[in-house]
Amino acid sequence: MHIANTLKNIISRLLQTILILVGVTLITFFILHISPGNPAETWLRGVGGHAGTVSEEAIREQEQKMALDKPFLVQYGIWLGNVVQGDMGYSLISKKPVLEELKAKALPTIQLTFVSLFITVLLSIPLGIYCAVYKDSWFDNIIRVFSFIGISMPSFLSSLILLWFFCLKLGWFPVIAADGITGMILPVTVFVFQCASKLTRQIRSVVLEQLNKGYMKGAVARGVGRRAILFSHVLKNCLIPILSWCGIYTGIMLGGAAVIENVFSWNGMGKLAVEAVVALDYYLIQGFVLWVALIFLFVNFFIDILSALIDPRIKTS
Amino acid sequence: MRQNRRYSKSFLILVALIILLFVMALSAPLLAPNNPNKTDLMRSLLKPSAEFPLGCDAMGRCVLSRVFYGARLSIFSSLLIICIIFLAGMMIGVISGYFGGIADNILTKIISIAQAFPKLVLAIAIAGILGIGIRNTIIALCIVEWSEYARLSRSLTFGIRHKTYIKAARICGESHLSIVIRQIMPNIVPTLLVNASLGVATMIMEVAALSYLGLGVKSPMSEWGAMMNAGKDYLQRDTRLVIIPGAAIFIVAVLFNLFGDKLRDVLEK
Repeated sequence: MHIANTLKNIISRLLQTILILVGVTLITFFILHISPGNPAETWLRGVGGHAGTVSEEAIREQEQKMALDKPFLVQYGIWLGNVVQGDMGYSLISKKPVLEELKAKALPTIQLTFVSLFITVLLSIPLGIYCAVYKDSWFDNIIRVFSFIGISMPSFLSSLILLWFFCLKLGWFPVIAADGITGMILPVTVFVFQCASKLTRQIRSVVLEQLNKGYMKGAVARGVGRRAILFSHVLKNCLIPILSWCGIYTGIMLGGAAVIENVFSWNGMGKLAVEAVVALDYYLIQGFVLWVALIFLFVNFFIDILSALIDPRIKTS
Repeated sequence: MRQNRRYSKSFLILVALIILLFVMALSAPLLAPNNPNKTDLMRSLLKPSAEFPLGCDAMGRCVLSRVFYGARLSIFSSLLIICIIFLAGMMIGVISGYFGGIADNILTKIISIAQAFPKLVLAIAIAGILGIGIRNTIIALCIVEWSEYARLSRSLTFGIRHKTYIKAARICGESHLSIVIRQIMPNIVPTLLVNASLGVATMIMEVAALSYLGLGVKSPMSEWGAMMNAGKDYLQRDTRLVIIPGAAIFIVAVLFNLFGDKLRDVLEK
């Protein structure tokens, strides 16, 4: 019975995920459709029209090849059909398969996102709990000021300040990020600063809420130790909101990667996406949106299942 | 109710500062010491002087004047976005929450799809595809940001729609439109306003982020994010070109965030 229910939930979640994927790609596809550019022309001319003038006939012929003369929904259907078979089209600029381009760039971005997320959580949980327990102490106030700065500072400003100080002034890191761990230090710092500022405050407020609950008095009265209360009772009850925030921050980081990867020249999907958008590389943009959606939805799917495992009261909605 | 509300001193100071900011942004042509778009390569990267209080950028344009004009663009485009998504989101949310049924089912689905995606990713794609320009930046951010207000208005409306006073109003023959305007809106607008004032800070940063990526304003218009993008190439020689517009964004964001926090204290007590 229980297993059947879980299975049913997972299937309905999967259907919902597919609906979201179709919705998001449909929006992008539609906007690409009404935009002034012409993919066939871009394909033939290359970036900035370097290939010289291309005849109208050649463009028409290319349009037919790319099925651009078909109605909007048919075009979308063809694209979707190809994607299901693992063909995301070709980049209009590099003429390489989109899937290949994205595959090469996905890993660095995923690494960046998850390392940042991990450190953010690792930092925010103790800080948030400490600030809640010692509410309005000097430590809480300092953290409050820090998190306020973090919330109000655009990520590209903090990135540029770090870039200037550590790469140009001190010369500790190269300006163009090296591959691997050394290159990750600065971008991860920016992400952690940005997200931990918010997460610490959020954790502080849920912990405060828990501390005021009746069961706390009960536990204290029963003589349960302070540490045990905090770590087994309070933290357990805060896990679910923390998990769902992790999902939200994954999204923020995947979007923020576009900005931060650009500042630090980190060779990931975000940087690729901005290049694709500037060059109006239609299928690459589509592919990027789909990839990000997939990663994001996968993470959230995973989080939902984890939440349901931790708290049996949660039925995947 | 209103008489009991105590406006703290810090709240009033913040209101005054924000009004000052608006006045500054509006009177940019009067305050700017120089033409913000006049280039002169002889003045390239000029240090601050009496004539150019914050010096000149690489193209020899007066940085202070560009910051003033940039304030106008950043602040008013963000406010415009907030106004649009506030009204659109509230309308959709109230319809969904008040009437319920099939409309609610469909709208909640649409809202959750819109919410289930990294917003900046889609904004970058849309802004880039539609083409560079502040109008398209505004369109892109409206498309991705409306859902939060819709979700919030829906859940707030849903929470009060079965209250006795709504039923009473209905029995008294009040029309749905009148109930929405006279009973529902006064109840949900305060919370939405708090969200909106915090949202202004986020919007200012997002508009600047898109401009920083080169997807925002067209040159030579001055916008803070675009100024930082142009300045970053000279980071080694002079951090001024990045720090000044960056500080402007930061200060305005701090102001609106503090204002939102205080507004919550005032409205939700």
